This record gives sequence, C-alpha cells and structure tokens, in this order.
Amino acid sequence: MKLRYWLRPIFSIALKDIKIAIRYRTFFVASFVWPIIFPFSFIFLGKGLAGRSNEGLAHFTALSQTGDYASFLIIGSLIWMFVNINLWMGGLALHNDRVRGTFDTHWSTPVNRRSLVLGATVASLVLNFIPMVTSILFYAGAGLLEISGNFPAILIAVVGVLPFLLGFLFTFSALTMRLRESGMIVHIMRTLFSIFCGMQFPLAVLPAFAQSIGKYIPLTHFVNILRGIIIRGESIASHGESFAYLLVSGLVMFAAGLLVFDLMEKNVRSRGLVSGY
Amino acid sequence: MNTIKVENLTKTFVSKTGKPFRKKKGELRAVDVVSFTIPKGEIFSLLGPNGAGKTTTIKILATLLIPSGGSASVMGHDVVKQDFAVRKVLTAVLPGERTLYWKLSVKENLLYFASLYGMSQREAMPVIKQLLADFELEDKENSLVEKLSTGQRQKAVLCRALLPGPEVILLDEPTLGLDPVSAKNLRAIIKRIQEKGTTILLTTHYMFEADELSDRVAIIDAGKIVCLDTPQNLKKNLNVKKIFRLETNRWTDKISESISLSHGIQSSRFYRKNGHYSVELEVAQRDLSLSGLSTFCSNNDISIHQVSIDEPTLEDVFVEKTGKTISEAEDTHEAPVLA
Repeated sequence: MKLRYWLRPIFSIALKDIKIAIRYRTFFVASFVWPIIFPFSFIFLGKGLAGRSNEGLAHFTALSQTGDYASFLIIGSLIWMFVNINLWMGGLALHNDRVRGTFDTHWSTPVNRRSLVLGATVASLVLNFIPMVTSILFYAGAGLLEISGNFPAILIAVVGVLPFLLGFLFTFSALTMRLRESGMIVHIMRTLFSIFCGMQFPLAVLPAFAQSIGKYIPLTHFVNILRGIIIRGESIASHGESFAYLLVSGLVMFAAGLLVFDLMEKNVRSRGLVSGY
Repeated sequence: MNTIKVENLTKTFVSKTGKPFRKKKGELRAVDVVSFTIPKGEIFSLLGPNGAGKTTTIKILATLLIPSGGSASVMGHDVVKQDFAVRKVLTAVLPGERTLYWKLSVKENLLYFASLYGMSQREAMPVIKQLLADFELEDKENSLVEKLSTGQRQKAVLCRALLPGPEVILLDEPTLGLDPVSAKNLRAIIKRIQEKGTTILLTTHYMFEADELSDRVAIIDAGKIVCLDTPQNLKKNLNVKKIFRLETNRWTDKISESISLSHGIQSSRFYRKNGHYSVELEVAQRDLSLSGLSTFCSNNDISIHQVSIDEPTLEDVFVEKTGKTISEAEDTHEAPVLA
C-alpha cells in the first residue's frame, strides 16, 4: 500500500484530533490542572505511610532501593497516565467515531484502517505530552521530583516500550470493534498492570507468586528502567537484559496486536458490526 | 462495461431476539439473492421501506460489509477481494448529518477527508475551492460545521463525496431530515453531479424522489428486488387506472359510449354544473393519452375548458407489487440486534 494511504492519514488524523481537542475549553483543565492534582493523593499516601518523622521510610528504602518516595510515586503516576493513554486512545477513537457518526465515512475511504487507530494515538501522545510536562515541571519546581537521569536514556526507554503498548493498543481497538465497548476491560487491565508492575508501590511488597507474574510483564521492566534512570541516575546499559526483554516481548505483542486487529476487522465487516455501538 | 454489477447478492445476519439472558440466536436475511447492473452515468435508485435491505446493499458496495453469498463489483473490482481498489473509485454518503466533524471548519473537514483519499493539500485545495464555488459555500469555507444549517451541512457532505473525483457515488437517503426547499436544492445538485458522468446509486424511501431523479428504479422489499425498470415503464405496466378529469362545453351518454369503444375507457361519469360538463374517465395506463383525448374531443366538436390527469405514482407500483403500502411494510420490519 502506498504511503499516501497510510502514513499521510496518520498525521492528518492526529492534526484533526488535536484541533478538535483544543477547541474545547476543558483542554486547558486537562493540560494544566489535572496533571498537578492527580499525583497528590499518592504523595500524601506516601507521607502517611512514612510517618511524621519518616520512621517508615527505612522500610520503604529497603523495599524500593530509594528513599525518595515522592519521585518514586510521581514517576509511577506518570507512567500510569502514559500507559492509560496508549492502551485506551485507539479504541476510544473508534468508539467516538461510531457515536459521532463518522465511522462509516472513514471506513469507506481507501485509508489503511490501522492508520485510523495510530493517528488517534499520535494525537493523544501529543496532547498528553503537555500534561506530562506540566506535571514534571510542577513537581520538579516544588522540589518533590528530582530528575537525575539523562533525557536521551529516558527517550530510549520510552521508545523501547512503544511496541508493547502499540500491540495492546491494536488488541483493545480490535475488542472495541467487536464488543463495541471495551471500557471495562481497559479498566481491569490497567488495574492489573498497576498491581503486577508496581506502579505505585515497590514490587517487593507483592506475594511471591504475584512478583513472578510481574516479571513476565514487559511493563514491569519499563517501570524499573525508568525509575532507575530518573531516581538513581542509572544508564540504559545497566538495565540491558530488562531492556532486551522489553523490546523483544514488545515486538511479539505488536505483531500479535496487528494480527488480532486485522482478523477482527474482517469479523466485524462480516457480522455487520462496523458502525454499531 | 457496467460500473456496478451485483449478482445473486445475499447477506444474512445472525441476530438475537428475546429477553435478556433468554436471548435466542436467529438468522435474518437482509439481502436475498439480489441482482442488478448499473451502466456509467446512470442514477439508479433502490426504493423501499426501512429495513428492506437498501442500506445493507449500499454497505456491501462500500466494502463496509462482507456479503454472505453472491458477488458485487465496482468498475470491475470485486468488493471483497479488491476492497481497497473499490474504495479508491467510490465515495459513500451515509445517512445522518454528523458525517463531518462539527468542531472543524468546512475547509478543514474537506482537507482532512482529502488526505484519507491520499490527496496532498496542494492537490486538494484547487478542488475544494471549485467545489465550494459550485455548491455556493465559498463564504462558509472557514465556518465551523456546527454553525451551518442542515442544508449547508448536506452540501458540505456532498463536497466531501466529490473531492476525490469518484466514478461512483453511493447516496443513502440523502434528503432525510432536510426541509422541503433544501431537499429540492439537493435533488438539483444530484442531477448536476450526474451530468458530469458520475454514476449514482441512491437509496430512498421517498417515492417522488426516486421518480424525479432516477433513470431506473429497483423496488426492494424484504431483501428482494420485486421489480426493476424506468419509473415510466413501472407506472405504465400497472393495473392501476389513470383518471382524466375534464370540463367541457357538452357531453352525452352517446359520447361516453363512443369513447369507451374507441379508446378502452373502463368507466365514465359526467354531470352538468354551472353551464358546463364535468367528466371523469377511468382508463388503463397504456390506453388513451392526452393527445388522443384531445383529438377525440375535437373530432366530436367538444371544447375542453380544463383537463387534469391523476397519474399513478411509484407508491402505486409498490402497492401492486408487494400487496402493501410502504408504511405498512415499514411496520413489519424490525431492526435486528446483531450478535
């Protein structure tokens, strides 16, 4: 398929979604208010558990290899936000087009249907980059988040997790096509990820069986790598094995996601579920 | 070569009926062995009540649905095996006024959809300018779609459909929800599109619309095509009678007898009122034309002051072919819950 039928539409879909999003006033609340208030509940939870004179901090340090619980939690929350966006946006975009009435119109054009999902995700990444930066700048400015890692290493880690997230994105988009609503499955999956990957707590507090499940989830490796880089100033190379696992399992997940999406696309066209919601 | 070719097309849906947790799966045949061809540049209408199978047929042609049986092709491309090629030569206008993004301007919408057809901004802009001029939407170029009237929105939707220069346009109930003036304007636009050589497949349940616009009409009910021809031929072959109503200077029983014998009048009535005669003549469709009636009257020294003809409509064709009116047919079709 020519680039003009899949690559160009990704950018025009992203541009369209960005234009629409910023034309609603709530965009500014989502960009500048939510990312500041969202991590607070976790920080105060941490403060409560640490105790008035941080007597609980020693236990936390022993379990998480850092005494900087604020950075630990803020990074966990940011990753949670980032993962949410990627898991959810492709399917949500399809769902929104169904509700709006623009779904059939898109599907009767020669655009590659995977591009419809990817375009919405690119828009979501761009739009959510703003709250992420807001959050990081606010908490760094408030002295609650110390970023000691280098940005290229962070970027490499983020690129490394993308195949895994895209694989999930296509799988959830396929589920949305078939079930017409996959919100609850997304809620369950992100909660499971949150638990097994230790996004808001050290993995060491999990029961042994849960820890061993977590080790097989690529996202756990991503969380560890990112915390290592940002909090402890470690390099990507020091997480070589984890990064390789993240990349390889992510690529497998990506291929599986594409396969599921293509099969489901045929399935819904056959069942007449294309525009139902 | 036919632009659209449909052969023994069938679509069966698996549907669920009954109360929650006690639902039973059933089969619903939405399109039942339908065949037709459409040559280039023709306006072909699928006419029928809601739930007759019109939209399902359009969706199969637009590659949104995979048929259960039979085949369909657009410009020689099979809609299942060559769906990408089909989508390159065809555009679809599906029902509902929300097929554009309301938070984008008309131009932004058109540029966006042009990109989905692989057009660059440089390629699309001159086409957009021309279309907006043709549809008298130039001053609305930068208006958000949410600020347009329903008629203007529908024009913008047609601009979108014409953007890639399609060989075929599928129009599914294009005037649904429009006020009479906007609907009339839209029908004029559809005729203009046809004049440029575009093949149009139209679905409607408005009889007069199919009559006014179509070169040929297929009446579809319960997934089957019950008749297919030009609107004129469909009406001509009806058993329903044509009624002539005249006001003349004279009329007698003898004249009634004479015209019945010479022109196959099936029944006639006349009475005298205010110094002239009101006459009603019932005749089969193919018997007696207006010019025949005029000749008969002049040969018999009868002056016609006024004449009107009650012609049968496509509604009469529908009733004769299906045994029910279109609204009765709609009552019998229920939207299935697909499994």
